[in-house]
Formats: sequence, C-alpha cells, structure tokens
Amino acid sequence: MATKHIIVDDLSVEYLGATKKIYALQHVSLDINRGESIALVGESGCGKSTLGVSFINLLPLNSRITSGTIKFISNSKEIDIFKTPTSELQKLRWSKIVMMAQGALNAFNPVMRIRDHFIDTAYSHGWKNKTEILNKARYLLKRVHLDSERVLSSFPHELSGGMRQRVLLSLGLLLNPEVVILDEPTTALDILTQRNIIELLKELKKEFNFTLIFITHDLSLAAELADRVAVMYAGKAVEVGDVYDIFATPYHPYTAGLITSTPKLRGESTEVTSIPGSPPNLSEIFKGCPFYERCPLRSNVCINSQPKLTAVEEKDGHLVACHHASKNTLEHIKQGDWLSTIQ
Amino acid sequence: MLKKILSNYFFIRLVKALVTIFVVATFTFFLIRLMPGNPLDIFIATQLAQGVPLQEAQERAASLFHIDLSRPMMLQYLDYLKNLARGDFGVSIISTNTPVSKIILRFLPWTLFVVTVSLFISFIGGILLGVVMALYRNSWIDQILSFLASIISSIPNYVIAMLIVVYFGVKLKWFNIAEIRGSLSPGVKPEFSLYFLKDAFYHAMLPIIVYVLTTIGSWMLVMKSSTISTLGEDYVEVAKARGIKESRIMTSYVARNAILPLFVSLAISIGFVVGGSPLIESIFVYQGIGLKLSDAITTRDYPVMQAIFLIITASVVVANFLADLLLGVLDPRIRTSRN
Repeated sequence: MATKHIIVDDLSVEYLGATKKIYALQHVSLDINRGESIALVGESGCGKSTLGVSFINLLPLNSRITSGTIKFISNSKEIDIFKTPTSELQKLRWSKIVMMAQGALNAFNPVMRIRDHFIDTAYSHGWKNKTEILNKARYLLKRVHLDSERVLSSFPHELSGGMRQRVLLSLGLLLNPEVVILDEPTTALDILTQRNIIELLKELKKEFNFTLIFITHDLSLAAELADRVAVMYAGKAVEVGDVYDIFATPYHPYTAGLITSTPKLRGESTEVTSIPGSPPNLSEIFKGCPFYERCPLRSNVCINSQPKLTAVEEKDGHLVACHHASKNTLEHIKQGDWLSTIQ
Repeated sequence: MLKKILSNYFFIRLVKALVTIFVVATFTFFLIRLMPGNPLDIFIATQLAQGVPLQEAQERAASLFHIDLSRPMMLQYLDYLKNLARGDFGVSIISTNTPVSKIILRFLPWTLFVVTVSLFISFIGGILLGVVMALYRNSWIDQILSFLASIISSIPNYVIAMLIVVYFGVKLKWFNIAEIRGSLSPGVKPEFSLYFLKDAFYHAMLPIIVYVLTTIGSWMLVMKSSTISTLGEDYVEVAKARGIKESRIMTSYVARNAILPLFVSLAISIGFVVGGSPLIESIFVYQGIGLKLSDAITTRDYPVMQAIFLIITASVVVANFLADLLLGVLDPRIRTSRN
C-alpha cells in the first residue's frame, strides 16, 4: 500500500474578475502517493495550473480559496499548506516542494548570472557555504548534461530554451526536494528537446526519488512519464487512475474522447478527430455534470445531479465522476460518430 | 583592425554624437543671427533710452566693440567653426575682452550643481514612490500619489517658480527674497567648508525645489507602470516559488529590472532641465548658465549665446552617451548585443 504524500481535499478556488467570478477549481479531491509520478491532464482553462500553484499556496492576488485543504506529509508530520504562515511557507517552498511554473524560458532574472540564481536560492534557505553550493550546482548541471562552468557564468539570455529548462531542473534539485511539480515542462520546446527532457526527467526521478506531479495537456507525455493520471475538466477531477487503466479502459466519456483524439504516429488511420463543442463557462456553478453539453452519453439525470468522484466497481483506485461510467465507454465512443473529424 | 574599430559600438556612438553637435552648432549660428537687431543696435538703443545723444552713443559703441558685423556671414561661420575646433568659443561682445570660456567656467558649475542635485533627488524619490505605488496599487496611497503626480508634472516649472516667489516669498515671507537670490551670499568664496556648502545650498534651495517638484511626478508614474509590468514576469513568480524573501525579490528581481527603461528618460530630462534653466534662473536670479543665456539674448551677445546653446546640446548628447554606457553595465542583454 502506497503512503500518501499530498492530500487535496474538497479544494475550491475562485478568481475575482472585474465583473464576474471564475470558479477555477470546484471541490477537487486528490491523493498523491509518495514517490509516484502523477500527471494532471486537461485542456486549457480546466484548472490544472491553479491546482499546481495551490500546492505551495502561491495563488494570484485576485483569487480566493473557498473550501478545502491541502495537506503535505513530511517526516510523518502533517502540514496544512493553507494554514502555514508565509515565513514557514517560504522555507517549505523549493526545499520540500518545488513548483516550476509554466514559462521556464523566463524563469531566470535577466540581469543575474545562473551562478547567482543557485546562490540566491541556497542562501534563502539558510545555506551559507558558497563553495559547497557551487559544487552541488556543478554536480547537478553535469547531471543534466550541461557544461557546468560555462552555464554557471552565463546570463539567462545566453542559453537556449532547452538549456534553460535543464538549468531550471537542476536548480530545482538543489535542496533535495520531496516533491517536484512541473507545469507544462515541455511546452515551447521543439520535439527533439522535448524527448531529451522526458528522458532526463526519468533519470532524475530514479536518482533523486522525488514525488513528481506534472501538469500537461499532452496525453502522450502523460502516458510516457506517469504512474497515475488525473483527468481534469472544468475545474473538477473527472477521472483518476493508474496510467494503464486510464488508457486501456477509460470510464469517463471525456477521457475516452481525449484518448481517441490523440493522433497516432503508427497505424492505418491518418484522420485526426476532436471532441465537438468547447469547455463550459466557468463563471457559473454547475447544477449538473459540467460535461453535459458535449457528452454523447448524457441523459436527464445529468442535468440536475452532479456526479461524484467514486471508485469503479472492477478496479481499486480507479475513480470516475460520471453517471454513465462503464468499462465500455471507449467502445461506445469509437463506434459512434460523436467525434468530429478534422480534415 | 580598422574594420573592427569602425564597427565598434562606441566608435559609432561617438561619431553620431560629434555629428549632432556639429549640426546644432551650425543651426544656432545662423538662427541667432536671424533674430531682429544686433549687439550694436541694442547697445545704441539702450544708450538713447538713457538720454545719451545719438552721435555720442554711436561713438561709444564704435570704441567699445571691435566687431565687424558687415563681414559676409559665410566667412564669419567658417571662422567660428575654425575656432570651435580648437576649443575656442571666442570673446564676448558686451563684456569686452572677456573670453566666453571664462564666462562659461564661472557660471556653468552652478547650473550643473542645481540640476544634478535636483535630478538625483527626484529620480531616487520618484523611483521609491513609484515602487510603493505599484506595490499598493489601487489602494488610497496609490490613488493620492497618482493624482498628485499627474497634476504636479503637468504644471510648467516657471509657474511653480513664480508661485513660490510671489506667494511664499513676498506674501507669506517664509524667506527673504532679496537675500536668497544669487548663487552665494556676498563675501562667501567657493571653498571646502561647511559654511560654504550651507550657503550654496541655501541659495540653490528654491530652484532645486522647483526642479524636483516638476520632474518627480513623471518618474513616479513611469516607475509605477514599469514595476507593475515587471511584477507580472515569470521570473518573479518563480523567485517566489524558490522561497526567496519578499524584500530580496522586490529589490533584486523587481526594482532592479523595472528601473532599466528609466535610464533613457533620465538622460533626456537632463537636457530638458538644463535647457529650461534660463526661465527658472531668471525668476530666482540664480547666477547660472541659464541666467547668463537670457542676458546674452537681450544684449545679442552672439558668441556667448552660441556657446551656451552648444553646451545645452552637448549636455543632452553627453548624458545620452553616459546613460547608454550605464545601461550596458546594468543590463547584460544590451552588453551582448553590442559585441
């Protein structure tokens, strides 16, 4: 039995716009196990990045947590992230939980050398010995296959996108974190660089043994890196499960739609399909299922009753939030003409 | 080797600066000669106004001034350029036998003193207030400061200067108008002493207040918007995630980057302040280059006018050049693109 590392319980977050509220996360519950690698998958605006910054309570100023908790378990002590004072949280960030937000290309202060980014980070966490810091930095940079001396004395703009992503990874491992959260780690990189980063992540995970949470819209990335997958839709987790279970027998029609819409490199069909419609407006609270508008399996029960995330009968640890969930969902989808073909 | 020098960033900048100065020198030379009246006419007119008969006034003028205004303009211009190239600004027409360079050396330091001190105060103050406004944006502090900044920066500096003289000086008598004029009290000599410094600041106080008041507003507003956009940068967000202290993020990550675009405006504003000094220095009777310029304009003292206009231009050009160098030191991205 896996031990839990982070417990997200009933988390709701809203953003205050000028005229209306956006309900970015709605009662999300998710357990993350120690040492596993979990992918948060979903399309833009589904709340996956909001969940990402919630782990270290770095939500933007115009947001509010309206319900729920995030508990982080470290040295068998339970830390309530939202109740931790800012000074404590500052110590926790990057030393225990590393959160690398989207946009690694701009993650570095343009007027500071890479060396100073390492030193600055280490000093902030009470590390004093400069030689020690730089030795560790050199080791980590070599570990991500970079020329450590050259990189340390470079300014960020002198490095390529892929190099910057690697530097950020090694900066992330400077304080031996327990959890590493990556938001879209390979977006904005070319396909070969993406490949390298993925391989590197696998190696680093093996060596440093951290819990990996990564946020992506790319299902193939999830298939490659994750042990478990959480599919998010309109601010909710709609299906959570083992990576093989999710891909082989998705129970939620949205998950099934996503899987069939992923273009395959090998295989007879060259057609690309997509789920018709667009994600719902998040400025309303749903009475029924948020996927109702686009769902091929919908019925009257979906209009007024919101499905809860519950375990499927056949498999432990596979959770789904759908009134019509069944192991045959993928078959249904493939047979019907619900998905629209893109020529 | 030669090619390397010719394509060198600083070499190109230097050539551009020299060309600018040359063009301005040419324009001012002809422009000031297009002004109605010449030094002789003006001198004779003032003598006549004092009741001196025309005949005598003309004789006095002839004996005082050794200039030949009937020489072809082109020849005068060539002479001027030739002397300028040797660093010779010529001799004043009105104060006979006084080299222009001597006049400038005497008055320029006072203007530079006032301008430097006031720009320093307003730049630093504007940056600090701008950061505060950005941090507490939309709060009452920001609202009040933004309101004051936009009002104060839209009032011309001579209006504020007159307001100070008329209202605070004459009406409220907060200070003695007759005593505070000039750049030093009578009998005080420039030297390294507290007494001298105190006196210099006492006399420079009013112009400094005016310059600070009229320039600080725009620094505040520009710094505020620059800081707000820097606060939204990814590297600031990542720095927070790295657990770096708020104060360190504000200084080394936010302010440090937000300040960069302000250096260009700093250079331009040096020129504005020096160029605007004739009005302010006349109002406060402050013995700087600006007051000298307005004297020279009334008496049509061509060489002095030419030299002072040239110095105003040169100060903008030099300030721009320095700002550029400084920006290169502060921003590594610019350094790279130059090499």
